[in-house]
Amino acid sequence: MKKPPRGFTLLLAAIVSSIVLSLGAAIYEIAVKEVALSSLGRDSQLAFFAADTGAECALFWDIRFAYFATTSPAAVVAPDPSCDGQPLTVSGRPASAPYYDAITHIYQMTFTFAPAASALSPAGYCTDVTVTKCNGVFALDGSCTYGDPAQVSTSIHADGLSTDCATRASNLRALQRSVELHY
Amino acid sequence: MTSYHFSKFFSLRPRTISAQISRYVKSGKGFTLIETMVAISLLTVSIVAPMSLASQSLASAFYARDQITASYLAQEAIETVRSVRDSNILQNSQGANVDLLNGIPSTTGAPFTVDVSTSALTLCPGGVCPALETRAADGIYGYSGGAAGWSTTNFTRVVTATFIPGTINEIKVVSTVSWHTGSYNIRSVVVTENLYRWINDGSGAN
Repeated sequence: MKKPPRGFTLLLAAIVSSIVLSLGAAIYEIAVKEVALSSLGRDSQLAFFAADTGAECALFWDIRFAYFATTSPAAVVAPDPSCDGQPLTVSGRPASAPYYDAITHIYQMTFTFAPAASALSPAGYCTDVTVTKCNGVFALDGSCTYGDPAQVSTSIHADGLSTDCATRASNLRALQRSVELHY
Repeated sequence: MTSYHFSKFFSLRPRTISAQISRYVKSGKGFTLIETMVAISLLTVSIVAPMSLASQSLASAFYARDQITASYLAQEAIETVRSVRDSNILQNSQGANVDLLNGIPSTTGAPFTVDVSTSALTLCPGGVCPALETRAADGIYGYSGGAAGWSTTNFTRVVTATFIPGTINEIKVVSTVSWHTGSYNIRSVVVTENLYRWINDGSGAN
């Protein structure tokens, strides 16, 4: 009579535990990816609304107070220009006439602020806004075609980041969404 | 006795192990208590560890699912408030003098609910906002007050609007969606946006 094989239980135990372990590892892998994906979706929205806040702020100061105006750009309006309670520090504003570049017919101003500072995000997010004034009309590629009769076109481009301004360069998970307005 | 068996069984000389096992088995003696305990604990660890890994993973998967829902619910509320403001802009452009923030229940931070199924913005009674409900027919989230065809969800959405201090034309809209997944703590997604009175409206604010 043939003897029953020995060591079969050990083999079975090894097979079962390795199957269970690989199943567990696979589920874990999927779950980690799901969490990363849903967090990216959430951060993407935070970045988008940061960008939209910046675009609205530039729109507000341009439409209501002509803060980025071409004729008298240095005119300071009251109340002091601010976005989300932070003073607007605009760079790139031409100091004196002629304001437009002789070749490109544009001038560009940029400012950065950190919207939505709160208890949840003490440093807030980060928004870069570029306001471009064109002495004419914008072409499709974003260049400015000098217009006659005179017309001023405006482009507001806002980049929102899901991180605060201090860690924007080092944060590997930082997301950027952008909003652009033309009028 | 026990240690004798143990050391014999786990002898490090490979050539003699099988001989020892066969002698051991032939002797008719069973496993000792300690050997059984070791075997059981090894099996237990190898089964329980992957199981707990899987259950943790499932909890994370539920969290991921709910976070996606919550972030879109938060976005929905912000966009509804924005659409109220934008309709007022359109009314102004048609010649009506309407305050751009007209229709927002509170601009002083009192919490309110946003019901997209009826486009109603309602102050929360007593400052406590009810849980969101969902309509089985189309999956839309809203507030029915317990009507048929609606069921309560895990999510609570609180929306506030406050003026940025020192300004009269800029409000910060904060949409907070909170929920609890299983036995975990309450989680939340907070989305904020600032809205401006970017045209001169009928509010008299300059």
